[in-house]
Amino acid sequence: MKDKRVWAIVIVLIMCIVYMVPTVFDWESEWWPAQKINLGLDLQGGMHIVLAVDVDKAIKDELGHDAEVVQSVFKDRKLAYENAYYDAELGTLRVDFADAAALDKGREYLAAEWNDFEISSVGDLSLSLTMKEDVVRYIRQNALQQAVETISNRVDEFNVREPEIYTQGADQIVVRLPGVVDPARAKKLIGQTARLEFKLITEKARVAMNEQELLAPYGGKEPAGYKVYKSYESNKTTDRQPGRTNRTFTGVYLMRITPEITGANLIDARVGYDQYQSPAVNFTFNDEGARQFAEITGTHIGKQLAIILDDKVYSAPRIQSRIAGRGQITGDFTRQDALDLALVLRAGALPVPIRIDEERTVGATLGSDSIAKGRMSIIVGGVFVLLFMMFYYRKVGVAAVTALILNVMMILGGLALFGATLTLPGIAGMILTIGMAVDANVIINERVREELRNGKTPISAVATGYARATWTILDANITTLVAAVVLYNFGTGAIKGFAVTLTIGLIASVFTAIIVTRVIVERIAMRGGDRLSI
Amino acid sequence: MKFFEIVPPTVNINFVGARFMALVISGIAVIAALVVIFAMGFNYGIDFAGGLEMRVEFTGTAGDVTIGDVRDIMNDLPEDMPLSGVQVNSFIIPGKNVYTIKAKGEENVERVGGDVALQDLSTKLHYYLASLYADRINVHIDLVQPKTPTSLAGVRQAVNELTATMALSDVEVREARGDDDKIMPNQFVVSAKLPAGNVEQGRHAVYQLPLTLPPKIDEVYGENVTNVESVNHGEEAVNIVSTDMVGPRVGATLRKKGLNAILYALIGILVYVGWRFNFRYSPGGVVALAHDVIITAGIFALLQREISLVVIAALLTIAGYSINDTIVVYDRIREGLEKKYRNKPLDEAVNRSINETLSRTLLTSLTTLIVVISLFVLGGEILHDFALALLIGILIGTYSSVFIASPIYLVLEEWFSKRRRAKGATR
Repeated sequence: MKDKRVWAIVIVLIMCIVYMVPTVFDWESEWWPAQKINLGLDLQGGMHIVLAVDVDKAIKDELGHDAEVVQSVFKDRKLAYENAYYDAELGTLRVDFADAAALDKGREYLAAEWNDFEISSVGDLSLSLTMKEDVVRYIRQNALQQAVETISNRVDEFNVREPEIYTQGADQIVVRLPGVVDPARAKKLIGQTARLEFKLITEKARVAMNEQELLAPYGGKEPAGYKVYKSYESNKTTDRQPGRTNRTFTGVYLMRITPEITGANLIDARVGYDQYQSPAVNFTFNDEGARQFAEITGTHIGKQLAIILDDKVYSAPRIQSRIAGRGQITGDFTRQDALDLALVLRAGALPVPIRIDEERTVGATLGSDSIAKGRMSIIVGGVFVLLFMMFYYRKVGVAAVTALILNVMMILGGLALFGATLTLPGIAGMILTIGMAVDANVIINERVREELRNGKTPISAVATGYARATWTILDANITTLVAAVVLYNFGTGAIKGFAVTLTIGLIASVFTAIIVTRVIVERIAMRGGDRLSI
Repeated sequence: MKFFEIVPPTVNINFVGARFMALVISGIAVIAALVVIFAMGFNYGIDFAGGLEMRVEFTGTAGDVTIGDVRDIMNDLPEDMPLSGVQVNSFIIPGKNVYTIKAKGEENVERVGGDVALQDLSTKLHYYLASLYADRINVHIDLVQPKTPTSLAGVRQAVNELTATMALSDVEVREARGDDDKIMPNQFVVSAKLPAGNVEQGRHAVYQLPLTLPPKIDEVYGENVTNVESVNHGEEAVNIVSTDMVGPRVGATLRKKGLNAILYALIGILVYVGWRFNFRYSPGGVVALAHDVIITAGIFALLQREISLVVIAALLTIAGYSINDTIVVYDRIREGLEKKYRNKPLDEAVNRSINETLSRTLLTSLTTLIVVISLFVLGGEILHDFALALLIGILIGTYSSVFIASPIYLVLEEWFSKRRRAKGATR
């Protein structure tokens, strides 16, 4: 007798053992085909952060930049215009003209060359340029991708083993750091925009001690294209110590939204010391950045140039002479502040601001406690169920028990095989599967008993019982599978883990109930003659 | 042949006869559950409501902190953490003194100054709590790719320079050892104690040490090579066991996704049952399923137990379990109608099928209950509500597969055949 089912069972069994060994014996080797089961952050400890990327800011920035381009191109082509600026209210680019003739000429040029925009009239003397949908989508995606790259760079510098960084939806980034130790520092390094800008304080731009005073000449409102910026306030803890004065000027500034220079051309940033021997950050530009920097500083000697990081003014030194590619950011930093700032500047600025939407940190203690508790409830629950099955179904119960054990092995093996992640809800799913896997055996065994009562011989009762029960079992499990699949699609990390174990468990329980126990029970029936211990 | 049985095979309880009674009782229960849900509302956990939830362990010098102490601390937080309605509860990890500190809701998120402030909140809270109880500090540092080879003497010298002016005593530096007691290269532990007098400044120094240590060591071994691997305060005065922070936007998204998930699961199941059986079977299955989920949710609302992500997972599992149960009975009804009971009245055929599957229904519920109870008792607090939901759901699910699903099928089938007969008579 060469039963194909026996071969199938043997192969599954061997695979389960191969894939379980690393997890069960806490052993891994390069030549062994299987690896340990991935533990979710809730079991091994770690940090899960969801970052929301302000992708709309990328659109605003692009429109602001386009406004500048319109101005310079109109000048080059000798086209008359009054003003070109980003209209925050409508979210469009707006160009104002002095008369209808200028407007017509402007429209003619824009319609021909500016294909990324829909052009419409606003009032009699203004044009409104609305960015096309696909361009908007492209810019958003691009901003998200750039943010992912920057965050990857920073996480690399942070020295974490096996970090995961991926996008979620249209504007979110998920960062998963297993076993990170200092969540505070990780959050700071990942979350800082590090958007470095340099803005001149000229003409309309002014400095004052408070916002009221600052905006008084403009009727209390920010003029178009200008914005109020606050000073950076050091959170250095030593400030609280007596006898230490805060050197930083804490006023407010009115400056143009569009910067003269950005940190995009920055190539290096290192910690240095300022004139008071306080930690500071020295930065270096590449050739392009150095050229821009020299040009701006050379033509504005005597003016103040504000150094702005993430919309906070760090300092606004007066330009003494033409400066080529180097500069310094001071800000009453602690050394750690300066080091971290240098790090994020080196790793690159985020194209747009991000904020933390969700943070979940689990310490190793809780993780191992959860594993211990999960293991305990599996063992206790499992043993009770096994005893019950053997008590209730006698010898055939032993077959069910074998199936159950194989079932747990298949879940563990399956998790390792598919590289799935075991989470705490996943353990709960496993426990649940143990309870539900018995179901298939119960359905079959009750059926076999019925056939026996109707006077069939054990062998034929087993055959009929299994045949009749198969579709019931399939139907019942497939409907539960529908719920599991929906759960997987809905779920966040931990819940996905639950859905995965539930799915593997359901498939395993169909296999063990329909094939494994049948092979065993058929043999029990053949040896038992006219009696079946069920 | 004799078997061990919980239900004798000859059993024939008239379940179908009680169908109208059962439908009325269940109808009242479902309406009551809906009223409770709408009147009292769900107690959403931070997964859905947004907010901050931290589990904090007090040990060592803070080992005898009581829940009252923690509540007092939370009621008197510094100005930069203006949280309101902070709930403090015990969190059971055997042999440990752990409390759950929870500040739920969007209003808390907004009060601390939007998302930016919220992201620092967990850290602030940790350092604040630690500084209240710490009499000692150990900082485990790890030098990654140092520019020059490290030495204990070198690190010790740097640490001594740093701590010379700090109000700390017994400053010690040693090489870090792994679990196997082997020295770990480039890893050191710096520890220090609170001085006898000058407690105020000492606490400040304890707070400062982990912040100022890496840059100081960096001065000797190269920029940005020193990472703080871990910090503990003496006998670990205050440990953060876990932190969950959920912004309001995520909460709202998850709420929507959770509802959609349940809806999609219902539709999927309806379609599958309709395809495998026929559409006269589907409504009974779906009504039974909705019945189980709604009543379980209603009980959660009544008890004001928190609705978290795992509870939603539990509700979906109940949905799966409930339909599983129903299908087994349906299968039997269909088989009976095709063969054994072809010539019997419909209600009797259905009733016999329910009775035939009764022992299976009870046995499976029993074994599943065994494991769920084991999970409820031993699985720990995080899975407590999950297990509770399943416990309720399985009990109700067992009832509904007998008293709800099949009777509804019967009612529908009778109604259809009456119409068919009526049509036949007029013809």
